[in-house]
Amino acid sequence: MSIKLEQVNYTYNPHRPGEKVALRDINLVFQDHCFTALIGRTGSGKSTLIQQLNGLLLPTHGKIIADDYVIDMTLVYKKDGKVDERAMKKKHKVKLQNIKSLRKKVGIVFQFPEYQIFEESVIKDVSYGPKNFGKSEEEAIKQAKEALTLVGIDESYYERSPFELSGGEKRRVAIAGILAMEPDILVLDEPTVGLDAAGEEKLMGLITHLYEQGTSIILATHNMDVVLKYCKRAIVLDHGKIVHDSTPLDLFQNSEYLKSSSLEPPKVFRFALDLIQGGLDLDLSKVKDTKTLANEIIRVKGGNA
Amino acid sequence: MYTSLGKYQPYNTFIHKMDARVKLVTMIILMVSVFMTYSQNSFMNLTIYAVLFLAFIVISMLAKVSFLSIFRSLAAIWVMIIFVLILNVFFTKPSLPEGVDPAPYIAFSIGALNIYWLSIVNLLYVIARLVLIIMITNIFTSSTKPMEMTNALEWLLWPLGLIRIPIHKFAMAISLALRFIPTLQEETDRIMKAQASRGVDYKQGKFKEKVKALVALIIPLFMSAFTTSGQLADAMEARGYDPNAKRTRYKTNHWGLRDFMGCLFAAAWVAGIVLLCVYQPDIYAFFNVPLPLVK
Repeated sequence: MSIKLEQVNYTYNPHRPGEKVALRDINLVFQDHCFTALIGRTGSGKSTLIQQLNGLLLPTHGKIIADDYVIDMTLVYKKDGKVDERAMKKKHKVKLQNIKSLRKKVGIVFQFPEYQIFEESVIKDVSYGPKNFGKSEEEAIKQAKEALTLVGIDESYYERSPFELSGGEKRRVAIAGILAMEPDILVLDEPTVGLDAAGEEKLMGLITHLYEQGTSIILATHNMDVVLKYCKRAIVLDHGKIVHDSTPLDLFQNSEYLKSSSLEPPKVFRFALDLIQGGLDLDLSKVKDTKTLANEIIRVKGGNA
Repeated sequence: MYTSLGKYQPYNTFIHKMDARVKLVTMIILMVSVFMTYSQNSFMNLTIYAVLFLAFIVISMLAKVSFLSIFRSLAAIWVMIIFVLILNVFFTKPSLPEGVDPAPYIAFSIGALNIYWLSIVNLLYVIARLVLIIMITNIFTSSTKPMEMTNALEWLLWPLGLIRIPIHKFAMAISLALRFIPTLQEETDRIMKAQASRGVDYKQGKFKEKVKALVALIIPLFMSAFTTSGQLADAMEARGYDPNAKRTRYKTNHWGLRDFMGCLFAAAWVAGIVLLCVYQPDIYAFFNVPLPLVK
Protein backbone atom coordinates (compact mmCIF):
# COMPACT_ATOMS: atom_id res chain seq x y z
CA MET A 1 0.00 0.00 0.00
CA SER A 2 1.07 3.59 -0.46
CA ILE A 3 0.51 6.61 1.77
CA LYS A 4 0.03 10.08 0.43
CA LEU A 5 0.25 13.22 2.52
CA GLU A 6 -1.24 16.42 1.11
CA GLN A 7 -0.50 19.79 2.69
CA VAL A 8 -0.24 18.23 6.11
CA ASN A 9 0.28 20.64 8.99
CA TYR A 10 0.49 19.83 12.64
CA THR A 11 0.60 22.18 15.62
CA TYR A 12 0.96 21.16 19.25
CA ASN A 13 -1.24 23.17 21.66
CA PRO A 14 -2.82 25.39 19.01
CA HIS A 15 -3.89 28.88 20.15
CA ARG A 16 -2.43 28.37 23.63
CA PRO A 17 0.78 29.17 25.43
CA GLY A 18 3.32 26.56 24.44
CA GLU A 19 2.01 26.47 20.87
CA LYS A 20 4.49 24.70 18.62
CA VAL A 21 4.31 24.12 14.92
CA ALA A 22 5.73 20.67 14.23
CA LEU A 23 4.86 20.08 10.58
CA ARG A 24 4.45 22.66 7.83
CA ASP A 25 2.84 21.87 4.49
CA ILE A 26 4.15 18.36 4.11
CA ASN A 27 3.53 16.90 0.67
CA LEU A 28 4.85 13.42 0.42
CA VAL A 29 4.15 10.04 -1.13
CA PHE A 30 5.41 6.81 0.35
CA GLN A 31 5.22 4.41 -2.57
CA ASP A 32 4.29 0.79 -2.22
CA HIS A 33 7.31 -1.29 -1.25
CA CYS A 34 9.63 1.55 -0.34
CA PHE A 35 12.63 1.66 1.98
CA THR A 36 12.70 5.25 3.14
CA ALA A 37 14.77 7.03 5.75
CA LEU A 38 13.50 10.10 7.58
CA ILE A 39 16.43 12.19 8.74
CA GLY A 40 16.49 15.30 10.85
CA ARG A 41 17.64 16.84 14.07
CA THR A 42 15.75 16.23 17.30
CA GLY A 43 12.64 18.37 17.15
CA SER A 44 12.58 18.50 13.37
CA GLY A 45 9.22 16.76 13.23
CA LYS A 46 10.19 13.18 12.45
CA SER A 47 8.22 11.58 15.25
CA THR A 48 5.23 13.82 14.61
CA LEU A 49 5.25 12.84 10.96
CA ILE A 50 5.44 9.17 11.84
CA GLN A 51 2.41 9.44 14.11
CA GLN A 52 0.36 10.95 11.29
CA LEU A 53 0.79 7.78 9.28
CA ASN A 54 -1.55 5.63 11.37
CA GLY A 55 -3.82 8.27 12.79
CA LEU A 56 -2.29 8.54 16.27
CA LEU A 57 -2.09 12.27 15.62
CA LEU A 58 -4.49 13.91 13.24
CA PRO A 59 -3.24 16.73 11.04
CA THR A 60 -4.24 20.18 12.29
CA HIS A 61 -5.08 20.61 8.65
CA GLY A 62 -4.25 18.59 5.58
CA LYS A 63 -5.13 15.27 4.08
CA ILE A 64 -3.74 11.77 4.43
CA ILE A 65 -4.64 9.09 1.95
CA ALA A 66 -3.59 5.55 2.77
CA ASP A 67 -5.01 3.46 -0.05
CA ASP A 68 -8.74 3.55 0.65
CA TYR A 69 -8.45 5.07 4.12
CA VAL A 70 -8.68 8.84 4.00
CA ILE A 71 -8.19 11.29 6.84
CA ASP A 72 -9.52 14.53 5.48
CA MET A 73 -8.71 17.62 7.52
CA THR A 74 -8.37 20.00 4.59
CA LEU A 75 -9.03 23.61 5.48
CA VAL A 76 -12.56 24.90 5.23
CA TYR A 77 -12.94 28.51 4.17
CA LYS A 78 -15.73 30.92 4.88
CA LYS A 79 -17.17 33.08 2.13
CA ASP A 80 -14.84 35.96 2.94
CA GLY A 81 -11.81 33.74 2.41
CA LYS A 82 -10.93 33.27 6.07
CA VAL A 83 -10.49 29.87 7.65
CA ASP A 84 -13.71 28.60 9.18
CA GLU A 85 -12.41 27.65 12.64
CA ARG A 86 -15.72 26.26 13.73
CA ALA A 87 -16.00 23.88 10.82
CA MET A 88 -12.42 22.75 11.46
CA LYS A 89 -13.21 22.05 15.11
CA LYS A 90 -16.20 20.04 14.03
CA LYS A 91 -14.06 18.05 11.64
CA HIS A 92 -11.65 17.20 14.44
CA LYS A 93 -14.47 16.09 16.69
CA VAL A 94 -15.84 13.51 14.28
CA LYS A 95 -14.72 10.09 15.41
CA LEU A 96 -12.57 8.23 12.96
CA GLN A 97 -14.40 5.23 11.63
CA ASN A 98 -12.61 1.95 11.80
CA ILE A 99 -9.20 3.42 12.57
CA LYS A 100 -8.06 -0.08 13.48
CA SER A 101 -8.07 -1.09 9.83
CA LEU A 102 -5.45 1.59 9.21
CA ARG A 103 -3.41 0.70 12.29
CA LYS A 104 -3.33 -2.93 11.26
CA LYS A 105 -1.75 -2.00 7.96
CA VAL A 106 0.69 0.58 9.32
CA GLY A 107 2.69 -0.84 12.22
CA ILE A 108 4.73 1.62 14.22
CA VAL A 109 7.67 0.57 16.33
CA PHE A 110 8.35 3.46 18.67
CA GLN A 111 11.66 4.52 20.10
CA PHE A 112 12.50 2.23 23.03
CA PRO A 113 9.59 -0.10 22.20
CA GLU A 114 10.37 -2.26 25.25
CA TYR A 115 8.10 0.11 27.19
CA GLN A 116 5.01 -1.36 25.56
CA ILE A 117 5.55 -4.84 27.07
CA PHE A 118 3.08 -5.77 29.77
CA GLU A 119 1.93 -9.38 29.57
CA GLU A 120 3.17 -12.14 31.83
CA SER A 121 4.76 -14.23 29.12
CA VAL A 122 6.59 -13.44 25.90
CA ILE A 123 4.19 -15.34 23.67
CA LYS A 124 1.16 -13.65 25.24
CA ASP A 125 2.63 -10.22 24.78
CA VAL A 126 3.49 -10.77 21.14
CA SER A 127 0.06 -12.24 20.36
CA TYR A 128 -1.67 -9.24 21.97
CA GLY A 129 -1.59 -7.20 18.74
CA PRO A 130 -3.10 -9.81 16.40
CA LYS A 131 -5.79 -10.58 18.99
CA ASN A 132 -6.74 -6.91 19.11
CA PHE A 133 -7.15 -6.96 15.37
CA GLY A 134 -9.68 -9.75 15.61
CA LYS A 135 -7.58 -12.86 15.12
CA SER A 136 -8.54 -16.00 16.99
CA GLU A 137 -6.40 -17.25 19.85
CA GLU A 138 -4.68 -19.97 17.77
CA GLU A 139 -4.10 -17.72 14.79
CA ALA A 140 -2.65 -15.02 17.04
CA ILE A 141 -0.29 -17.53 18.68
CA LYS A 142 0.75 -18.81 15.29
CA GLN A 143 1.53 -15.32 14.03
CA ALA A 144 3.34 -14.54 17.27
CA LYS A 145 5.52 -17.61 16.87
CA GLU A 146 6.38 -16.62 13.30
CA ALA A 147 7.26 -13.10 14.39
CA LEU A 148 9.40 -14.34 17.28
CA THR A 149 11.25 -16.70 14.95
CA LEU A 150 11.91 -13.76 12.63
CA VAL A 151 13.49 -11.69 15.39
CA GLY A 152 15.49 -14.70 16.56
CA ILE A 153 13.75 -15.49 19.85
CA ASP A 154 13.49 -19.26 20.17
CA GLU A 155 10.90 -21.49 21.77
CA SER A 156 12.61 -21.67 25.17
CA TYR A 157 11.65 -18.02 25.72
CA TYR A 158 7.93 -18.33 24.95
CA GLU A 159 6.72 -18.91 28.49
CA ARG A 160 9.23 -16.68 30.24
CA SER A 161 8.28 -13.32 31.69
CA PRO A 162 9.36 -10.59 29.28
CA PHE A 163 10.47 -8.43 32.20
CA GLU A 164 13.35 -10.74 33.09
CA LEU A 165 14.89 -10.60 29.61
CA SER A 166 17.93 -8.51 28.74
CA GLY A 167 17.49 -5.09 27.10
CA GLY A 168 18.26 -6.33 23.59
CA GLU A 169 15.94 -9.31 23.93
CA LYS A 170 13.15 -7.10 25.26
CA ARG A 171 13.47 -4.86 22.24
CA ARG A 172 13.29 -7.83 19.89
CA VAL A 173 10.18 -9.11 21.67
CA ALA A 174 8.61 -5.68 21.40
CA ILE A 175 9.38 -5.48 17.70
CA ALA A 176 7.96 -8.97 17.26
CA GLY A 177 4.80 -7.58 18.89
CA ILE A 178 4.38 -5.28 15.91
CA LEU A 179 5.55 -7.79 13.30
CA ALA A 180 2.97 -10.28 14.52
CA MET A 181 0.29 -7.88 13.25
CA GLU A 182 1.73 -8.47 9.78
CA PRO A 183 1.61 -4.82 8.73
CA ASP A 184 1.98 -3.72 5.10
CA ILE A 185 4.09 -0.78 6.16
CA LEU A 186 6.53 -1.00 9.02
CA VAL A 187 7.51 2.32 10.54
CA LEU A 188 10.43 2.37 12.96
CA ASP A 189 11.50 5.30 15.11
CA GLU A 190 15.22 5.13 15.90
CA PRO A 191 15.26 1.34 16.09
CA THR A 192 19.03 1.05 16.50
CA VAL A 193 19.47 3.48 19.39
CA GLY A 194 21.02 1.80 22.40
CA LEU A 195 22.01 -1.37 20.57
CA ASP A 196 25.59 -2.54 20.15
CA ALA A 197 27.13 -3.00 16.71
CA ALA A 198 26.19 -6.68 16.49
CA GLY A 199 22.65 -5.99 17.63
CA GLU A 200 22.34 -3.19 15.11
CA GLU A 201 23.53 -5.39 12.27
CA LYS A 202 21.12 -8.13 13.25
CA LEU A 203 18.17 -5.80 13.50
CA MET A 204 18.91 -4.12 10.17
CA GLY A 205 19.35 -7.57 8.64
CA LEU A 206 15.86 -8.44 9.87
CA ILE A 207 14.40 -5.22 8.48
CA THR A 208 16.05 -5.82 5.11
CA HIS A 209 14.64 -9.34 5.11
CA LEU A 210 11.15 -7.98 5.75
CA TYR A 211 11.63 -5.45 2.95
CA GLU A 212 12.63 -8.19 0.55
CA GLN A 213 9.51 -10.10 1.49
CA GLY A 214 7.40 -7.15 0.39
CA THR A 215 6.91 -4.97 3.47
CA SER A 216 7.42 -1.23 3.01
CA ILE A 217 9.87 0.23 5.49
CA ILE A 218 9.95 3.77 6.83
CA LEU A 219 12.82 4.48 9.17
CA ALA A 220 13.44 7.56 11.29
CA THR A 221 17.08 7.65 12.21
CA HIS A 222 20.17 9.64 13.05
CA ASN A 223 22.42 6.82 11.96
CA MET A 224 23.84 7.78 8.57
CA ASP A 225 25.65 4.47 8.16
CA VAL A 226 22.30 2.75 8.22
CA VAL A 227 20.86 5.25 5.75
CA LEU A 228 23.70 4.72 3.30
CA LYS A 229 23.82 0.96 3.59
CA TYR A 230 20.16 0.02 3.55
CA CYS A 231 17.82 2.81 2.47
CA LYS A 232 16.66 3.55 -1.03
CA ARG A 233 15.37 7.03 -0.35
CA ALA A 234 16.32 9.69 2.16
CA ILE A 235 14.02 12.51 3.25
CA VAL A 236 15.47 15.30 5.37
CA LEU A 237 13.21 17.28 7.67
CA ASP A 238 14.11 20.57 9.25
CA HIS A 239 11.79 22.65 11.40
CA GLY A 240 8.81 20.66 10.20
CA LYS A 241 9.57 21.09 6.51
CA ILE A 242 10.91 18.70 3.93
CA VAL A 243 14.20 20.21 2.85
CA HIS A 244 15.63 17.34 0.87
CA ASP A 245 14.24 14.26 -0.84
CA SER A 246 16.50 12.02 -2.90
CA THR A 247 18.51 8.83 -2.81
CA PRO A 248 21.04 8.59 0.03
CA LEU A 249 23.83 8.81 -2.54
CA ASP A 250 22.58 12.16 -3.87
CA LEU A 251 22.14 13.43 -0.33
CA PHE A 252 25.66 12.58 0.77
CA GLN A 253 27.21 13.87 -2.43
CA ASN A 254 25.54 17.20 -1.89
CA SER A 255 28.14 18.22 0.66
CA GLU A 256 27.29 21.93 0.62
CA TYR A 257 23.80 21.15 1.72
CA LEU A 258 24.99 18.70 4.36
CA LYS A 259 27.27 21.28 5.95
CA SER A 260 24.50 23.83 6.28
CA SER A 261 22.18 21.35 7.94
CA SER A 262 24.79 19.90 10.33
CA LEU A 263 24.44 16.39 8.95
CA GLU A 264 27.56 14.34 8.40
CA PRO A 265 27.96 11.72 5.71
CA PRO A 266 29.07 8.33 7.03
CA LYS A 267 32.79 7.82 7.56
CA VAL A 268 32.95 5.16 4.84
CA PHE A 269 31.49 7.61 2.38
CA ARG A 270 33.92 10.38 3.33
CA PHE A 271 36.79 7.97 3.03
CA ALA A 272 35.62 6.99 -0.44
CA LEU A 273 35.38 10.67 -1.41
CA ASP A 274 38.94 11.20 -0.20
CA LEU A 275 40.11 8.23 -2.24
CA ILE A 276 38.45 9.66 -5.33
CA GLN A 277 40.15 12.99 -4.72
CA GLY A 278 43.40 11.08 -4.39
CA GLY A 279 42.93 9.73 -7.87
CA LEU A 280 41.08 6.44 -7.48
CA ASP A 281 38.19 6.05 -9.90
CA LEU A 282 35.58 4.55 -7.54
CA ASP A 283 31.94 4.09 -8.34
CA LEU A 284 30.28 5.82 -5.41
CA SER A 285 26.91 4.20 -6.01
CA LYS A 286 28.45 0.84 -5.13
CA VAL A 287 29.92 1.98 -1.82
CA LYS A 288 27.57 0.97 0.99
CA ASP A 289 29.85 -0.06 3.85
CA THR A 290 33.44 -1.08 4.51
CA LYS A 291 33.11 -4.35 2.66
CA THR A 292 31.68 -2.88 -0.54
CA LEU A 293 34.27 -0.12 -0.37
CA ALA A 294 37.03 -2.71 -0.19
CA ASN A 295 35.52 -4.50 -3.17
CA GLU A 296 35.48 -1.27 -5.14
CA ILE A 297 39.11 -0.55 -4.34
CA ILE A 298 40.05 -4.06 -5.43
CA ARG A 299 38.06 -3.65 -8.63
CA VAL A 300 39.75 -0.35 -9.50
CA LYS A 301 43.17 -1.66 -8.61
CA GLY A 302 42.50 -4.63 -10.84
CA GLY A 303 42.99 -7.28 -8.19
CA ASN A 304 40.86 -10.31 -7.55
CA ALA A 305 38.19 -10.06 -4.93
CA MET B 1 -7.46 19.21 24.26
CA TYR B 2 -9.01 21.69 26.58
CA THR B 3 -7.50 23.73 29.35
CA SER B 4 -7.80 21.63 32.43
CA LEU B 5 -8.79 23.36 35.61
CA GLY B 6 -6.00 24.86 37.62
CA LYS B 7 -3.14 23.84 35.36
CA TYR B 8 -0.30 26.33 35.44
CA GLN B 9 -0.55 28.78 32.58
CA PRO B 10 2.77 30.42 31.77
CA TYR B 11 1.65 34.02 31.41
CA ASN B 12 3.57 36.96 32.73
CA THR B 13 1.12 39.01 34.77
CA PHE B 14 2.01 40.67 38.06
CA ILE B 15 -0.02 38.01 39.84
CA HIS B 16 2.21 35.37 38.27
CA LYS B 17 5.30 37.22 39.40
CA MET B 18 4.06 37.77 42.92
CA ASP B 19 5.68 35.84 45.75
CA ALA B 20 3.91 32.50 46.14
CA ARG B 21 3.78 32.91 49.92
CA VAL B 22 1.83 36.14 49.59
CA LYS B 23 -0.49 34.44 47.15
CA LEU B 24 -0.97 31.41 49.40
CA VAL B 25 -1.85 33.49 52.44
CA THR B 26 -4.12 35.73 50.39
CA MET B 27 -5.82 32.68 48.98
CA ILE B 28 -6.47 31.33 52.46
CA ILE B 29 -7.91 34.69 53.53
CA LEU B 30 -10.13 34.81 50.46
CA MET B 31 -11.35 31.30 51.23
CA VAL B 32 -12.17 32.22 54.79
CA SER B 33 -14.14 35.17 53.51
CA VAL B 34 -16.23 32.80 51.40
CA PHE B 35 -17.32 30.79 54.43
CA MET B 36 -18.16 33.69 56.75
CA THR B 37 -21.69 34.61 57.70
CA TYR B 38 -21.97 38.33 57.31
CA SER B 39 -25.55 38.89 58.26
CA GLN B 40 -28.55 37.28 59.86
CA ASN B 41 -30.33 37.95 56.61
CA SER B 42 -29.53 35.15 54.15
CA PHE B 43 -30.31 37.34 51.18
CA MET B 44 -27.79 39.91 52.36
CA ASN B 45 -25.21 37.11 52.57
CA LEU B 46 -25.98 36.00 49.04
CA THR B 47 -25.64 39.60 47.91
CA ILE B 48 -22.20 39.75 49.47
CA TYR B 49 -21.31 36.50 47.70
CA ALA B 50 -22.32 38.13 44.45
CA VAL B 51 -19.95 41.01 45.24
CA LEU B 52 -17.20 38.50 46.01
CA PHE B 53 -17.93 36.80 42.71
CA LEU B 54 -17.42 40.09 40.86
CA ALA B 55 -14.19 40.74 42.78
CA PHE B 56 -12.85 37.29 41.93
CA ILE B 57 -13.74 37.79 38.29
CA VAL B 58 -11.63 40.93 38.30
CA ILE B 59 -8.73 39.05 39.88
CA SER B 60 -9.14 36.20 37.39
CA MET B 61 -8.97 38.68 34.55
CA LEU B 62 -5.82 40.24 35.99
CA ALA B 63 -4.23 36.77 36.20
CA LYS B 64 -5.48 35.85 32.70
CA VAL B 65 -7.32 32.81 34.02
CA SER B 66 -9.79 31.45 31.51
CA PHE B 67 -13.38 31.66 32.70
CA LEU B 68 -14.32 28.84 30.44
CA SER B 69 -12.33 26.40 32.51
CA ILE B 70 -14.24 27.52 35.62
CA PHE B 71 -17.57 26.80 34.02
CA ARG B 72 -16.29 23.56 32.58
CA SER B 73 -15.31 22.42 36.03
CA LEU B 74 -18.79 23.33 37.24
CA ALA B 75 -20.20 21.21 34.48
CA ALA B 76 -18.05 18.42 35.83
CA ILE B 77 -19.59 18.62 39.32
CA TRP B 78 -23.20 18.90 38.17
CA VAL B 79 -23.88 15.46 39.64
CA MET B 80 -23.00 16.81 43.04
CA ILE B 81 -25.13 19.90 42.54
CA ILE B 82 -28.13 17.77 41.61
CA PHE B 83 -27.51 15.62 44.67
CA VAL B 84 -27.47 18.69 46.90
CA LEU B 85 -30.59 19.94 45.16
CA ILE B 86 -32.49 16.74 45.85
CA LEU B 87 -31.34 16.56 49.45
CA ASN B 88 -32.39 20.15 50.02
CA VAL B 89 -35.75 19.82 48.42
CA PHE B 90 -36.74 16.70 50.34
CA PHE B 91 -35.12 17.11 53.68
CA THR B 92 -34.92 20.79 54.64
CA LYS B 93 -37.93 22.19 56.36
CA PRO B 94 -38.03 25.37 58.35
CA SER B 95 -38.34 24.60 62.07
CA LEU B 96 -41.50 26.51 62.80
CA PRO B 97 -43.15 26.76 66.19
CA GLU B 98 -46.45 24.95 66.33
CA GLY B 99 -49.51 26.70 65.13
CA VAL B 100 -47.64 28.97 62.73
CA ASP B 101 -48.97 28.93 59.20
CA PRO B 102 -46.18 27.58 56.91
CA ALA B 103 -47.67 29.19 53.81
CA PRO B 104 -45.45 32.31 53.67
CA TYR B 105 -42.34 30.08 53.93
CA ILE B 106 -43.25 28.09 50.85
CA ALA B 107 -41.86 29.29 47.55
CA PHE B 108 -43.99 27.01 45.44
CA SER B 109 -45.49 23.56 45.48
CA ILE B 110 -45.22 20.69 43.10
CA GLY B 111 -48.27 18.60 43.86
CA ALA B 112 -48.00 17.61 47.50
CA LEU B 113 -44.35 18.58 47.69
CA ASN B 114 -43.69 21.97 49.23
CA ILE B 115 -40.53 23.74 48.19
CA TYR B 116 -39.51 26.15 50.93
CA TRP B 117 -37.58 29.35 50.43
CA LEU B 118 -35.10 27.90 52.89
CA SER B 119 -34.22 25.05 50.52
CA ILE B 120 -33.65 27.44 47.68
CA VAL B 121 -31.47 29.70 49.78
CA ASN B 122 -29.47 26.74 51.06
CA LEU B 123 -28.92 25.48 47.55
CA LEU B 124 -27.76 28.91 46.43
CA TYR B 125 -25.35 28.97 49.37
CA VAL B 126 -23.77 25.67 48.36
CA ILE B 127 -23.46 26.60 44.72
CA ALA B 128 -22.14 30.08 45.47
CA ARG B 129 -19.50 28.74 47.85
CA LEU B 130 -18.42 26.01 45.43
CA VAL B 131 -18.08 28.45 42.57
CA LEU B 132 -16.16 30.95 44.67
CA ILE B 133 -13.78 28.34 46.08
CA ILE B 134 -13.11 26.92 42.64
CA MET B 135 -12.42 30.40 41.33
CA ILE B 136 -9.90 31.17 44.06
CA THR B 137 -7.98 27.92 43.81
CA ASN B 138 -8.05 28.23 40.07
CA ILE B 139 -6.46 31.67 40.21
CA PHE B 140 -3.79 30.41 42.59
CA THR B 141 -2.88 27.21 40.80
CA SER B 142 -2.92 28.61 37.30
CA SER B 143 -0.69 31.53 38.24
CA THR B 144 1.81 29.70 40.47
CA LYS B 145 4.37 27.13 39.44
CA PRO B 146 4.04 23.87 41.39
CA MET B 147 7.56 24.27 42.76
CA GLU B 148 6.80 27.75 44.09
CA MET B 149 3.63 26.35 45.56
CA THR B 150 5.49 23.70 47.55
CA ASN B 151 8.04 26.23 48.71
CA ALA B 152 5.26 28.47 49.93
CA LEU B 153 3.62 25.55 51.67
CA GLU B 154 6.90 24.60 53.33
CA TRP B 155 7.29 28.16 54.54
CA LEU B 156 3.75 28.20 55.87
CA LEU B 157 4.30 24.99 57.81
CA TRP B 158 7.48 26.10 59.59
CA PRO B 159 5.86 26.02 63.07
CA LEU B 160 5.63 22.23 62.69
CA GLY B 161 9.41 22.19 62.55
CA LEU B 162 9.42 23.37 66.16
CA ILE B 163 7.86 20.09 67.25
CA ARG B 164 10.45 18.19 65.20
CA ILE B 165 8.35 17.28 62.25
CA PRO B 166 10.72 17.12 59.23
CA ILE B 167 8.88 19.57 56.99
CA HIS B 168 11.53 19.78 54.31
CA LYS B 169 11.41 16.03 53.82
CA PHE B 170 7.69 16.35 53.22
CA ALA B 171 8.27 19.34 51.00
CA MET B 172 10.84 17.36 49.02
CA ALA B 173 8.41 14.47 48.67
CA ILE B 174 5.68 16.80 47.49
CA SER B 175 7.91 18.61 45.03
CA LEU B 176 9.18 15.31 43.65
CA ALA B 177 5.63 14.09 43.27
CA LEU B 178 4.73 17.29 41.46
CA ARG B 179 7.86 17.06 39.38
CA PHE B 180 6.80 13.59 38.24
CA ILE B 181 3.32 14.53 37.09
CA PRO B 182 4.41 15.80 33.68
CA THR B 183 6.86 12.91 33.31
CA LEU B 184 4.15 10.39 34.01
CA GLN B 185 1.80 12.20 31.67
CA GLU B 186 4.36 12.00 28.89
CA GLU B 187 4.98 8.38 29.69
CA THR B 188 1.25 7.59 29.68
CA ASP B 189 0.89 9.34 26.37
CA ARG B 190 3.77 7.38 24.91
CA ILE B 191 2.54 4.00 26.13
CA MET B 192 -1.00 4.76 25.00
CA LYS B 193 0.29 5.50 21.53
CA ALA B 194 2.39 2.36 21.47
CA GLN B 195 -0.58 0.23 22.54
CA ALA B 196 -2.91 2.07 20.15
CA SER B 197 -0.55 1.00 17.39
CA ARG B 198 -1.10 -2.55 18.60
CA GLY B 199 -4.81 -2.18 18.07
CA VAL B 200 -6.06 -0.96 21.43
CA ASP B 201 -8.72 1.66 21.07
CA TYR B 202 -8.65 4.00 24.06
CA LYS B 203 -10.90 6.62 22.55
CA GLN B 204 -13.68 4.50 21.13
CA GLY B 205 -14.58 0.94 21.83
CA LYS B 206 -16.77 -0.59 24.48
CA PHE B 207 -16.43 0.01 28.19
CA LYS B 208 -15.31 -3.57 28.86
CA GLU B 209 -12.62 -3.31 26.21
CA LYS B 210 -11.42 -0.04 27.69
CA VAL B 211 -11.08 -1.56 31.15
CA LYS B 212 -9.07 -4.43 29.69
CA ALA B 213 -6.96 -1.97 27.75
CA LEU B 214 -6.18 -0.18 30.98
CA VAL B 215 -4.07 -3.13 32.13
CA ALA B 216 -1.89 -2.70 29.06
CA LEU B 217 -1.37 0.89 30.13
CA ILE B 218 -0.92 0.59 33.87
CA ILE B 219 1.66 -2.20 34.01
CA PRO B 220 4.19 -0.54 31.70
CA LEU B 221 3.52 2.76 33.46
CA PHE B 222 4.34 1.24 36.84
CA MET B 223 7.42 -0.45 35.45
CA SER B 224 8.77 2.80 34.08
CA ALA B 225 7.77 4.77 37.18
CA PHE B 226 9.77 2.39 39.37
CA THR B 227 12.75 2.58 37.06
CA THR B 228 12.68 6.37 36.83
CA SER B 229 12.27 6.85 40.56
CA GLY B 230 15.20 4.52 41.23
CA GLN B 231 17.31 6.42 38.74
CA LEU B 232 16.28 9.71 40.27
CA ALA B 233 17.22 8.53 43.75
CA ASP B 234 20.65 7.48 42.44
CA ALA B 235 21.11 10.80 40.67
CA MET B 236 20.19 12.71 43.81
CA GLU B 237 22.59 10.72 45.94
CA ALA B 238 25.31 11.11 43.34
CA ARG B 239 24.91 14.84 43.66
CA GLY B 240 25.17 14.64 47.41
CA TYR B 241 21.59 14.86 48.56
CA ASP B 242 21.31 14.21 52.29
CA PRO B 243 17.76 14.27 53.65
CA ASN B 244 18.97 15.29 57.09
CA ALA B 245 21.18 18.17 56.05
CA LYS B 246 20.12 21.74 56.47
CA ARG B 247 18.59 23.03 53.28
CA THR B 248 19.44 26.18 51.44
CA ARG B 249 17.50 27.75 48.62
CA TYR B 250 18.63 28.06 45.05
CA LYS B 251 15.98 30.61 44.25
CA THR B 252 15.55 33.48 46.62
CA ASN B 253 12.57 35.72 46.28
CA HIS B 254 13.08 39.39 45.81
CA TRP B 255 10.47 41.23 47.74
CA GLY B 256 9.00 43.81 45.41
CA LEU B 257 6.29 46.39 45.21
CA ARG B 258 3.80 43.87 43.89
CA ASP B 259 4.32 41.63 46.91
CA PHE B 260 3.77 44.59 49.18
CA MET B 261 0.60 45.40 47.24
CA GLY B 262 -0.50 41.81 47.64
CA CYS B 263 -0.05 42.01 51.41
CA LEU B 264 -1.89 45.31 51.48
CA PHE B 265 -4.72 43.76 49.51
CA ALA B 266 -4.91 40.82 51.93
CA ALA B 267 -4.89 43.16 54.93
CA ALA B 268 -7.61 45.31 53.41
CA TRP B 269 -9.64 42.19 52.71
CA VAL B 270 -9.33 41.04 56.32
CA ALA B 271 -10.36 44.50 57.51
CA GLY B 272 -13.34 44.33 55.16
CA ILE B 273 -14.44 40.96 56.53
CA VAL B 274 -14.12 42.11 60.13
CA LEU B 275 -16.05 45.31 59.44
CA LEU B 276 -18.83 43.44 57.70
CA CYS B 277 -19.04 40.91 60.52
CA VAL B 278 -19.12 43.55 63.21
CA TYR B 279 -21.64 45.91 61.63
CA GLN B 280 -23.70 43.23 59.87
CA PRO B 281 -25.13 45.68 57.37
CA ASP B 282 -28.46 44.80 55.85
CA ILE B 283 -29.36 46.92 52.86
CA TYR B 284 -32.64 45.06 52.46
CA ALA B 285 -33.80 46.09 55.92
CA PHE B 286 -32.43 49.59 55.39
CA PHE B 287 -34.43 50.14 52.23
CA ASN B 288 -37.36 48.09 53.53
CA VAL B 289 -37.23 45.65 50.64
CA PRO B 290 -39.82 42.92 51.20
CA LEU B 291 -38.18 39.49 51.20
CA PRO B 292 -39.60 35.99 51.37
CA LEU B 293 -39.48 34.39 54.79
CA VAL B 294 -36.53 32.13 55.51
CA LYS B 295 -36.20 30.44 58.84
